[in-house]
Amino acid sequence: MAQSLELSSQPAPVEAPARGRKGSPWTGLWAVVSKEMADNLSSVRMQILEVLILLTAVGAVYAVMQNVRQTVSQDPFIFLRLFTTARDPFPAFVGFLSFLVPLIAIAISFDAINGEFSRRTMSRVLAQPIYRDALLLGKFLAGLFTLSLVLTAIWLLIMGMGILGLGLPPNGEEVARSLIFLVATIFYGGIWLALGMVFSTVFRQPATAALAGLSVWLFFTIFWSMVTSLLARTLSPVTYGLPEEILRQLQTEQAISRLSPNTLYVEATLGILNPAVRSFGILLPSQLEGAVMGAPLPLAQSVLLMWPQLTGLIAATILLFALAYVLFQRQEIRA
Amino acid sequence: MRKGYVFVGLFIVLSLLLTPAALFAQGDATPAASATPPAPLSIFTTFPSQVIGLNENISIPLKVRAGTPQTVQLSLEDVPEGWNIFFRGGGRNVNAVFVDGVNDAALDLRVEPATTAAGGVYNLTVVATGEGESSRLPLTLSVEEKAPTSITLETDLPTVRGKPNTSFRFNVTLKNEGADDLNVSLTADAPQVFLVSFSLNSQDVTAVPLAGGESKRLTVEARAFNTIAAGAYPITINAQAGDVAASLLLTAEVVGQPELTLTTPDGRLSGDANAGAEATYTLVVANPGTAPARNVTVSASAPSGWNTSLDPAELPELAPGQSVNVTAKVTPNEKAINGDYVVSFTARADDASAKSIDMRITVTTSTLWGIVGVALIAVAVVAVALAVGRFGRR
Repeated sequence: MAQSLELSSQPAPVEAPARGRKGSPWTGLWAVVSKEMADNLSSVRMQILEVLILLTAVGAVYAVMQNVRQTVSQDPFIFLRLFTTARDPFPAFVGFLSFLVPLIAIAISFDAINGEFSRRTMSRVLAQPIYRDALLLGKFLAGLFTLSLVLTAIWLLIMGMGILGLGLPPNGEEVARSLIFLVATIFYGGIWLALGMVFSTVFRQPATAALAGLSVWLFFTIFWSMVTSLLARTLSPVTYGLPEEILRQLQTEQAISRLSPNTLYVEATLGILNPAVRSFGILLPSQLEGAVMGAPLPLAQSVLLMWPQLTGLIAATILLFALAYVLFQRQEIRA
Repeated sequence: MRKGYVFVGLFIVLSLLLTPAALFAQGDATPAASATPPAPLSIFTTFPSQVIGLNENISIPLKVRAGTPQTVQLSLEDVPEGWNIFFRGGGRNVNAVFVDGVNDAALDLRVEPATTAAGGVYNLTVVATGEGESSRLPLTLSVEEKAPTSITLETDLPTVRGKPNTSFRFNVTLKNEGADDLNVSLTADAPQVFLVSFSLNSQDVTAVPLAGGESKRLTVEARAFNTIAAGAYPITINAQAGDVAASLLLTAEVVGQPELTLTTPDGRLSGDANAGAEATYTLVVANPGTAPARNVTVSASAPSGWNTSLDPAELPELAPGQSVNVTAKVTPNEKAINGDYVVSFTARADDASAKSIDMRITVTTSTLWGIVGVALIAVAVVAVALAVGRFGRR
């Protein structure tokens, strides 16, 4: 991404040469990335969160193994079951991830900018030949890489435990599907990372930024479904109880709920990890006429199905970063 | 011998005249020995005239009776040419016999006709010569050729009609016309495509034992190995026992039957189609039967909102062995969600059972929305680039 940004920023000196900007805005980016990654990985809060995720991974895989051993039926996608099967009292691993990943992401990024101010190191850093662009992008990329590292390690752990426990290797499609799932999870974390960065730019107090990030997370996790149904009832009311009205209200509700990154993430993981899923929307019986139920979709079709959700996650990450970037660039930093 | 009978008969007449009726039962033989002078030498047999078969050796039991003990010399007269006749007694060939005067002496006359003897009546005389008296026993042997050994095969219904996959059953009567017991083995000459079996009392047999004059009803079942062309097929069944044989020509008349098959050129019953876009599949309608199939129609059954067209959808006639490619154009509903659907194709004809195949069509949706998603990311990247251009390098 850094390279593409570099390319797209080439015309900038031509447009505004009067401001006297020279060189690439990304000078020193990788120095920032490596320093921030080192800080992230050695910090105590990261270690606590890593242990938490590790425990959930082990617990989830153990629970799935118990389940799989009692099952005798054939399953062509048994490795995907490692991620999606829930067994009391353990929820499915994807369920764990959908609320643990935002926590990690917010924990990494809530004091990214205002922490520098409160330590009074911002001026010192920017006195180096490093632009603000490079500082912000470096902190964001470092957070994203840290997240990727942790999630990839957990992915490998689950696959490894799966091979040990099941005694058979995953096939190519299972690996491809679970890798796409990994990408979706990383960008789901990326949204919350960028959001944390926005809040750490806006609020001067790290505690305020952390609380703001957590409340947004809480809002989407708990309150968004209530808001959704309320909005849907207001926007497309069922006046006469006609099927069309009910259908329209359901579609409105689904469209609104997709504004939440949680919904996007859950749908994306469902589409890619469960090959039998054909559609997320409301299906009329006429659409299912002649359909072979339970038949797995080809990988390309599953990717196509969850592609809007995946691109939504990626685009939201980039846009939130752009917001943080604009806010940070316009900020007065000579404190 | 005949003299003996005459004598006994005369005596019976005399005793009937002289004695009361109450004594008749016991008194017919014993008074004869005591009341008459010593019996004359006689040689006799119970059956002096016999019928024998060709090349059949026989033994004729003889008895010699005499009133006084004496040695009786035995000889033969009028022996036919080449015949071998001799007396047997005590396990040996004998030429004389001793009669003790009280009991009859028993011996056998062994007759071995000449191997070249033809049928006819042969006479010979056995002469017993005792002490001063002799007795002659004429024997008559009729050599007869037996009923010739032969077997016959018969059926009431030599021609049976049927479809290629039916089994043709013929009821055949196998009879042993001769007198000898026979073990008849059964074989069939049939076209290679027929498997012919014989059964007797619903059990498969290849050989049947038949007593002389006996007849048995057999069921001959001919079954074609595979579908065969219409026509008359001759089936010759042979019965053989030793050097006698009989054969019977049966005819299986196979009438033609049309048959339909429906498949794809490579046998694959799955395909891909884009939602809202026409996809073309090739079907093969064939008639592997033995008669032309008439008014063949091919139809498709798809979910509602799908368009299907078949070319050709109707065939006036499909000759046996002929196959026709039918192009099926299937357009899934534009709003069809991606995944597998089942479309059934059915081929029907006037006088053949309909054949149907289920084709599994994987509907894929267009990648247009994927490109839209990529465009969304591109817009986000451009937004970042614009922000960098506006605010960059501070």
